Amino acid sequence: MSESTKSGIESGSDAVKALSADLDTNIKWLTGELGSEPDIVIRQLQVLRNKRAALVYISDISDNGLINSLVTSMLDESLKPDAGEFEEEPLQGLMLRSLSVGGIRKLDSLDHVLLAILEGCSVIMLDGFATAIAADTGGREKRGVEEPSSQTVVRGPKEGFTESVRTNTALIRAKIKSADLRMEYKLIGKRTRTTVVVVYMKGIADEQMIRDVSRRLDLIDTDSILESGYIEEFILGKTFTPFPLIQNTERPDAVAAGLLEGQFAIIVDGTPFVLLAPVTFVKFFQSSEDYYQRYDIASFLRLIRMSSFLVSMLFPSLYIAITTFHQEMLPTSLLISLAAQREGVPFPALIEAMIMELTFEILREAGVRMPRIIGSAISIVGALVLGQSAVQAGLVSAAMVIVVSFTAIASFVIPSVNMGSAARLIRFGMMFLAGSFGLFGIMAGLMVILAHMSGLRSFGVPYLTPLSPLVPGNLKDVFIRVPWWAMKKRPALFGKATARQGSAEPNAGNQGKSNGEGKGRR
Amino acid sequence: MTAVKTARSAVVLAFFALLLTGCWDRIELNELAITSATSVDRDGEDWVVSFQVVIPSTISSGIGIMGAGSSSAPVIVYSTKGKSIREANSRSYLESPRKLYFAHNRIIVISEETARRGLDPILDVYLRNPDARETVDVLITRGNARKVLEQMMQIERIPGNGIREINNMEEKYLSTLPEVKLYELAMSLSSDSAGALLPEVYLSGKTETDSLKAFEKTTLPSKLRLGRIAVINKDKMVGWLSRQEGLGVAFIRNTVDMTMIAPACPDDPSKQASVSIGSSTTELKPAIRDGKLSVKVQIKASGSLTQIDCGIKDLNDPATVAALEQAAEKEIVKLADSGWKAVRRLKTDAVGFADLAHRKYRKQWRKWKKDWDSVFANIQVEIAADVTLTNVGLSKEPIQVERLKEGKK
Repeated sequence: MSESTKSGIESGSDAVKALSADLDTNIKWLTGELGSEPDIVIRQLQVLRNKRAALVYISDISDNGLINSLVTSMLDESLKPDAGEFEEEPLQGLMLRSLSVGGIRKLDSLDHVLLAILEGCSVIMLDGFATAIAADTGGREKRGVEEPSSQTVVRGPKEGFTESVRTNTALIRAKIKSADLRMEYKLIGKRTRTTVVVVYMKGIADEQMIRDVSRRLDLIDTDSILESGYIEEFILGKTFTPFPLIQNTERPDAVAAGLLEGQFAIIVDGTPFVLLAPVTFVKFFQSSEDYYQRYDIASFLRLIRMSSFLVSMLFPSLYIAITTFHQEMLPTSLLISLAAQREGVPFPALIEAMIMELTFEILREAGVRMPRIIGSAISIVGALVLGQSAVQAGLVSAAMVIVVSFTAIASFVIPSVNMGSAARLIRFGMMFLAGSFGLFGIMAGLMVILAHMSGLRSFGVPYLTPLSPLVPGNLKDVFIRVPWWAMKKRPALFGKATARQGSAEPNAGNQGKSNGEGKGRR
Repeated sequence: MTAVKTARSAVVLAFFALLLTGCWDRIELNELAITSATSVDRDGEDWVVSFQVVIPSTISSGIGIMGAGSSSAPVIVYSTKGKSIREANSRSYLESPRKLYFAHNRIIVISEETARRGLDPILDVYLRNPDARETVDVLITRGNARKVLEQMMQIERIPGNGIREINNMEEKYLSTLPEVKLYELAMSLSSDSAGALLPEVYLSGKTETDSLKAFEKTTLPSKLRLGRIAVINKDKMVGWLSRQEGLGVAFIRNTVDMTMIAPACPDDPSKQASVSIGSSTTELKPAIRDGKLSVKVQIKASGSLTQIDCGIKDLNDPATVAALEQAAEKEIVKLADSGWKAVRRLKTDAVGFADLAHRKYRKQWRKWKKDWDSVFANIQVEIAADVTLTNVGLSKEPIQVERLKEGKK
């Protein structure tokens, strides 16, 4: 934990203002910088019999219990019979003997003192010394570990990340008890000084890639990072694509699985959404539950998800294209039924579809933004008023309502909200193409999308791997998921160490056994 | 920066290009007149083409559908006249509020007169134009073909569809009349034999069922029915086959899927048994005897006994079954023979012997080709049948109440 703040400080400010040996000068400077707000506490006390000292902290972000014991331990020191032994080295004495706090470090400059205070440390300054001690007494109100709200599973761990970076790293450490798990701390944002942690598995993740990410993070020059979305956009830079190139997840198990496949994670303090990269297109269709359920049903569900993606992207446009250009493709009875429904509908199919799609998008957005209490109102208005009444009034055809609702439901099947919104955006473009050129337009649009996707890279990994370039070994976990015992290798996308099972795996205690039985573990 | 600008203007231009297309051949569903059946008649030198157009709102029911509901006729029929079929078609714009749409046309009904005068123009229209499908069923009718289109149908709401279904079912379960799609017709007419068969659809009954009022009763005054089989020779119709002869020809052509035959009882020719043929394959073996072509027709069928009215005692006795099989074989040979005689009478190679001869005897074919009709008339045909009864049903002897009573005494 001390590692975090230390590295943060070092990469922090450049203009170093040295501490003065005079305690009063230092206190004066600090009150000048921090102001005399009521939550800033400057506690003066006498330690080691005759030394004047000051304890400075911000009470709101500190743990009062820790502070109490800290103060007690400092005051008790002077009562100890051998207190005089450290007369010459009082600072050393404090640090070695008396401070009843885990994380301690020395500070040399006023700026560092200021930052330590703002981070929640208590800073102890002794009169006559130009060095201060920062004790880690940070503690603030935080939310407990709860079930992730955006990525739920039926079977699998129910814990989710929280807003606290410490909790989040702890959750990952709890999953992977390996010395190879590395966490690089950074402070980003000139004003927010947000802790950002790059997590990866040494020996699995590509070192070059980690260096590259680290460099890209260091290049971020902004005053605030309030959510991992900021980081996502900063490190992607000028890449114009509707497709997400970085995954985000609320699930520690998903992050752990990603790390073990050679991805790296970026945890940002203040948000439960952890970034995972590099990522490929097919990753967005894998739910962590796929790996906990039986492989047969998992494979089936995955195929359903992929087809749902296509449905959510193409269904309205296919409907438009077929009913306005290629009526001969419909079975006769269906054609007559559709024609009967369209009887008296005043708009062309394209406009009809646009109206319904936009209505749905508005409903959906309203559902997200609206206070929960009036949530049920929207379903009544949406389902009854807009659906049934619009059909009864003859404004839209019943088939179009079915198409739009099916599309809407299909778009919720995709596990990643990011990918779902990509499909949403593309859907509208496709509808225009379908309305102007029919199936030809759809095909042309798909070609452009395919070409675009083939050109995308996420941290150097081609977006369509393992399909293009084809990596046959990785196909085990794309459209279907083979049983765990058949996945002997890690997907060879993001790193080199590929053996997942068998003797090649380092520090596996039960190697021989599992190797012989061919059973998956993890 | 310029690259971005160029890209931006390219996108804008591409967007305008989208608008410029005028949406190509886009047509909304409610601008289509979905044609379910067409008919072709001749009026002097003119062609009269009739269309049976579906009125969707009367067919489909459900919320939000504006329409008169089921109280109005499901289809409307109108005819146009022109010097050519397509000209007649194009005149439909003079009276139709919607564009005629032929992709879902299920049947084309051709009047006998039209067929006797030649089918070439019809084939040309269908094969040349992408909007009309060659998979349409072709049927012949005796009188005015438009009359067939005007009839409503029981159970099926769209008559064109209904006729196709009848034709389809009949071919599947009875195999007497073939279901001939337009491309099949064109293929058989352009083959060496240049002969084809077409089913007849006709109106049985005195009055016409062209109003929904008729459906208030359980008995319709008239019905559309499949009748005989028209024989086409080199694009012109030459005559009719009866259903018996049709089934015989079907046996020779190996187009029997399932059918029913009623052979006479081995012991009492006045009574019949019924055999449902489940599968039948025909092998044609051409041979040259005394310089003349002869064809051996070997029909192999299997079926089950579905009814028996004979004086047979025990159906478990293999001899009895063999006798029944023989009776069935005799019946099939009789049918096939009558079929063969009929096509020979009409001098039309509707059984496809020409292709057979061409394939087997390529050298002689050059000679035969010049005068195939006379070669055809002199073909010696030997018909043999082999029937296997796979199942005689659940009771081992024919149910005869008198005898059952005796058994109890």
